[in-house]
Amino acid sequence: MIWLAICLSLCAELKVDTVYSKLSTTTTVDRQLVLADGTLCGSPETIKDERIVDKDGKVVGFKLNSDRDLSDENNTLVKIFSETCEPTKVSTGVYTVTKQGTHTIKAIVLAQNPLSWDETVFTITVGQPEPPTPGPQPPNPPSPGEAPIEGEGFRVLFVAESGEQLPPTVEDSFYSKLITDYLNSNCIKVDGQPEFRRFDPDTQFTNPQHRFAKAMARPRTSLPWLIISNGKSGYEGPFPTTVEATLALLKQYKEMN
Amino acid sequence: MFENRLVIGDDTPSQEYTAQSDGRARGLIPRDYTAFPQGMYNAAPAWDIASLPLVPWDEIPDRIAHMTETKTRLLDIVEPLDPLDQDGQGYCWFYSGTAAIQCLRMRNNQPNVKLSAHSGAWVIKGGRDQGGWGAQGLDFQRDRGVIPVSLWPEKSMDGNRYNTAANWEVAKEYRVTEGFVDLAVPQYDRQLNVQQIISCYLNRIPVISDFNWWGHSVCGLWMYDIYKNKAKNDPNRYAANEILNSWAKTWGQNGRGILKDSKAFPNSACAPRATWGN
Repeated sequence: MIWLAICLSLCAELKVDTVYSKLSTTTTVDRQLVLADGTLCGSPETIKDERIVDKDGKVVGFKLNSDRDLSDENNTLVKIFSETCEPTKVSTGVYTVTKQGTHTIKAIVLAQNPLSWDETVFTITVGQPEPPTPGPQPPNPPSPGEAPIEGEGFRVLFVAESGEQLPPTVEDSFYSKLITDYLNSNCIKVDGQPEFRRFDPDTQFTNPQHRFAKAMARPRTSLPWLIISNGKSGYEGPFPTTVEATLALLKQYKEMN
Repeated sequence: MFENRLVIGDDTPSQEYTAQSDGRARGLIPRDYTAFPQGMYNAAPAWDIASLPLVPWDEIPDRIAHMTETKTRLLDIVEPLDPLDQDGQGYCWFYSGTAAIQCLRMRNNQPNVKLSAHSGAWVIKGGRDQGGWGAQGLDFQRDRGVIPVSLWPEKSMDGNRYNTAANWEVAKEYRVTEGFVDLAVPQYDRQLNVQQIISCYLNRIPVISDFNWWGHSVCGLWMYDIYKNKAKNDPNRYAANEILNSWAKTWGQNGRGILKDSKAFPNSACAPRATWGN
């Protein structure tokens, strides 16, 4: 029975309501007529101005709705965590966030006698929602008529640190069997080997004049890095964020060949 | 999970796995860490966390599951690779590193060139049939590389004929780069050692693995998340290590097999991160 009570207690509900979409801060001003020589005329007039200092949507609050008594601070402890913002307590169970952006927040309500807790994770956005993550940066086109990997034909180079986890959106493309099969079928072959490589940026070459050595020496602004060459032009830049988009980009340059 | 696979576990009688070897040579001399401590090789410092971060234990099961589902493990990428055959000499310790180089080259989509592991082992041992350990072979492979079988025929002990400067010039193409990693000593810290091995596998880096119980060195490819009821940071949760042997295609499945339970964990391990280009 005690165990059942503990289980029920552990399963108590914790919900979060967003309570503000804006915060108004008012200010008062004094109005006083002053002559050109600095003489004050008449009495100052105090004006309560309803001007909003913070515009709508720049502050967001949230309220914890719990079965537990949040005001009983001797028995209940509320912990709020976020890696990207610092919520400010306004009143019991009510907090505000002023930092612009989208924030993931974890709220934990701990109670003792018996020890039990509820937790919830939620997201709030302060200000305008962040624009969607841009896809691949615009291609960093080589000069007109310049192929980023020397030689005629379709050639591709993937560059990434061999000892670091690739971003998940890139990792699937980097080692995708679909993409590997496409490249091995469509890249030009030298001595029977398709001209597609995956290299660590520190890769050394016995022949620095090798076309892949030269391609590796080209400037990069980030890692992982994708180079596509069709012999006439090409793409140099970050990976698209999906296998499908990477494959589409490869096909685009292959078909331009 | 391992239906129709060769599995050697704690309950496999030694006569059975000895019989599976079909009399093939092995050749591991256990590395004596008091004489040859971790980090003793100039180009192989002890694990450099800045250049090869450890994958946190909490992430390991999910990453194993994702790579398995997407078939992007090193194990999947090197599926077409034929195993080597060391038969005749106890040069397993040089074959394990040579297999790792071939795996990395296939991962990079470099030409699949069959390499003659006898070349380096013969030179290190002055033409004698002697044992060694994986890091000993890998250190040589970093420095001088491995000669292709087109220039040093497979399993040939005729070093007087093939051990030429011209052949070793070609071998430079088949070196591993500076900075291979010498993994933690499992007898001192097995948990760290296993975390390092799995971090390599999750980054598609083969692990040259010496097993004292087997007297054998092989190329490790992957650890399975087989005991999911164990804690994420318990090495025994991952006690199934798929390896690429150097006993030709007829051993296991195309030269691959699974070492399970306490047999899964090598007594000494090192890992080449990358190969030379071209």
